[in-house]
Order: sequence, then C-alpha cells, then structure tokens
Amino acid sequence: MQPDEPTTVDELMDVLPSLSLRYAEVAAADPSTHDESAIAVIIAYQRKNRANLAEGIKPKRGKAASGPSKPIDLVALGLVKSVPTSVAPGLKRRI
Amino acid sequence: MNTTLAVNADSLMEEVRSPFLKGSNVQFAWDSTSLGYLKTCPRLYQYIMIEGYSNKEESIHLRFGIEYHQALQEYDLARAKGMDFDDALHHTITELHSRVWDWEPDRDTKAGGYKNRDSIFSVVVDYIDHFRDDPAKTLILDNGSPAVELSFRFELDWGPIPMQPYMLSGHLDRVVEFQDNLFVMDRKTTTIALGQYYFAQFEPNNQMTIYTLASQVVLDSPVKGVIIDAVQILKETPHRFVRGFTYRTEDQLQEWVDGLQYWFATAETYARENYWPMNDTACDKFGGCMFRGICSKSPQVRQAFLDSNFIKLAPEERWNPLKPR
Repeated sequence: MQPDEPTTVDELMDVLPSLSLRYAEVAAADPSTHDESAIAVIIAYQRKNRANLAEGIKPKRGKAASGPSKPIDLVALGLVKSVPTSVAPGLKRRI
Repeated sequence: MNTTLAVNADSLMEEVRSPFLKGSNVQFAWDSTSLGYLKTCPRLYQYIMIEGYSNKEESIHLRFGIEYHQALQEYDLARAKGMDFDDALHHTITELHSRVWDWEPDRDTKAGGYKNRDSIFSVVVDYIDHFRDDPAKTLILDNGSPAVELSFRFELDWGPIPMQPYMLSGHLDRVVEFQDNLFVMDRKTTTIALGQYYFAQFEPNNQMTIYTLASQVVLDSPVKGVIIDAVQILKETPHRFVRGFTYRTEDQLQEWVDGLQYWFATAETYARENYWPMNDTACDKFGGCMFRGICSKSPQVRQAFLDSNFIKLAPEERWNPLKPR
C-alpha cells in the first residue's frame, strides 16, 4: 500500500473500481497478512455495494466478488462452433 | 418446574453429556430444534437425532447461521460495554473475517449461492448499519452482564425415569427492553419474503413458546413474547430487515407444557419400540424436507440412498441440546 492511498471507510468508498479489486484480495486473505486498512476495505465495499443495489446497479454474476473473472472461450475449447451474439427476446440462448 | 439454571454460555462448559438415557434412544434433554423435528415428523427426528444424518446444504445453512449470530452477539457485547459504533463494527468484522476468510461453500448450490463469505459480510454490515440507533436496548442483568446469547437449561417436574427429570434447554439471542416491556429477540435469516405469511409461522410456534417460557423462568420477569428480528437475504437488491412480534399468555404457556407431556410420552414409545413412523403430510413443509428423496424410495433401498447422499455424523458432532454454543 502506498502512503497516500485511502484507508478509512469513507475514503475507500470513493475509489471504485479499485475498491472492488482490493475487496476480492482481502476477503479471501489470511488475516495474518492484512494491512491496517483491510477491514475498512470490507466495510466500505459492502456499503458501496448496498448503495449500488439500492440504485438498481446489479452486481456481476458468478464469482466476480471473489476475484477478476475471465470469460470462457467455448469456441477455443471446441465446445461450440460459434457463439451467437444475440437471441430473440423471451428466448433462452441454447448452446 | 422444580429447578432452573440461568447462566451465560461460559459457565455451561462442563463436559457435554448425551441428551439420551444411557444405552437407550430415550431423549431426556430437549430443545426447540429436536422437539420441532419430533413434532414435524418422527422419521425426520430419527434420521437427525437418533442416526445423525446431515447433508452439505444443511451444513451451509448451519454455518451461516452460526456466523451471523456470533457476529451480532460480538457487536451487541461491544456496544453494551461502551464501545462506539465505528469501533464496534470494526471489531465485529475483524472477528468475523478471522473465522470465514477461507470459507468457500459451493456457490452453485442454492444454499451456497445465497449463503457464503461475501453475503455474510454484507448482511452483518447491513444489519449493524440498519440498526445503528436500535430502539430495542439490550437488557443488563443483575450481575452487570448484557443479556446476549443467554444459554438456559431447566428441569421439568417429570421424567422418563424417576432419577432423571426431563430438561429443556436452548439459547436466547438477546433479551431487550422495548417500549417499557421485556422481549426475547430472536434473529432469523431467510431467503423468502418478509410479509404476513412469513411471520404467521411464529404463532403458534414451538420455538417461540419455549423461548417465552424459558425467559420467564430464567429471568423471573414478565417477558411479553418474542421479537422476530428477520433479514431477507437478497442478491440483486439490498437485504431487507423486518421485525415482527409474537406474544404468549400464561394460559397458552401452560397449555403448551401440558401438551409436552404427551409429546415426550410419544417419543418414549417410539424409542422403546425402536420405530419412528413417517409423517407424510409434512414432506413439503419449510421448502421441502431434506429427506424427501429418501422417504420416497422403497424401504428396501432407502439405506443405500441415505449412505450415498448423506453423511453420518459422529455422536459428538450431532445436534445435542446440552452442547453449549
């Protein structure tokens, strides 16, 4: 952590999206490796997340909160020939 | 009730006894959970209390509930001891993180999707923020300690054998003063909507009646009833917190104790006959019994499915009303 980085809950709430990444790091980290701001990061992230949800901003699906996710390339894996870019409203994409 | 014992959990830390009479399946120490199993379905009671079966989803619900209750207990204690809001919150999340940082339930299960490390952090932070200026104040006991996570245990006037009276035990999350009355506060987590339908389940209700009865015995005070302190865990909107009230009159409490004699006698009969019949009208209750997939099989193959789909807990790991929290 750099000296000028935010450490309090209120300061941390203003630094999304880096807050999201820091939360993913500290939530799953051994507490013995924590720096002083780790718990403030958890609190700030949860408050920011609650504010986002109240405004209708939905969280990313899956395990986004546990770490950066990488989309699976189904074509490269040979599971499908191509991935459709859109589907008609009301229809589920079938692959 | 001839004997009462009202103490904080620390003083119940003696060696944990079996809740069953030695060498039998006759249970003498009961709590709302085990009595609830018996009342719901004797076969459910058999699978959990007698045989010790459990499943993965159940363990997620149990772990989440334990962490939620412990975190809010630590917060309540910190506040009751005079710690300010921010420090108490920081302390609570520090302790919670030290317990759950490596908890990784399978998020592909329904239970794990709602109840996991991220959601326990969010629901605890949200609860504490939501009730920052809580109108319900923790009761301070005569010995100066806050009435938080109070374990209770008391003997009844009769028992399965002359030397062993029946016992009722349990844990009260919190006793509070609210609008000049005393209430037990019981915390609940759920994924279903917190409307009239949700709160209707607590009246009548085995657990809430035991808590009202126990609090009156333990505190020797006219506790009015229970405040259901419920949170609906949500993924795409903020969690919802709603409190509901349920009251019990003296006559209702006495009626419940009278009925208990019949329930215990019935449990003794099941134990002595070594047979716990299935109540097939209860299989769809509470979102569906976890053993429905077992009971729906032919009796000849049931054991094989039990062994492959469930884990059998060691006796010391099983639900035990005498185990302190």
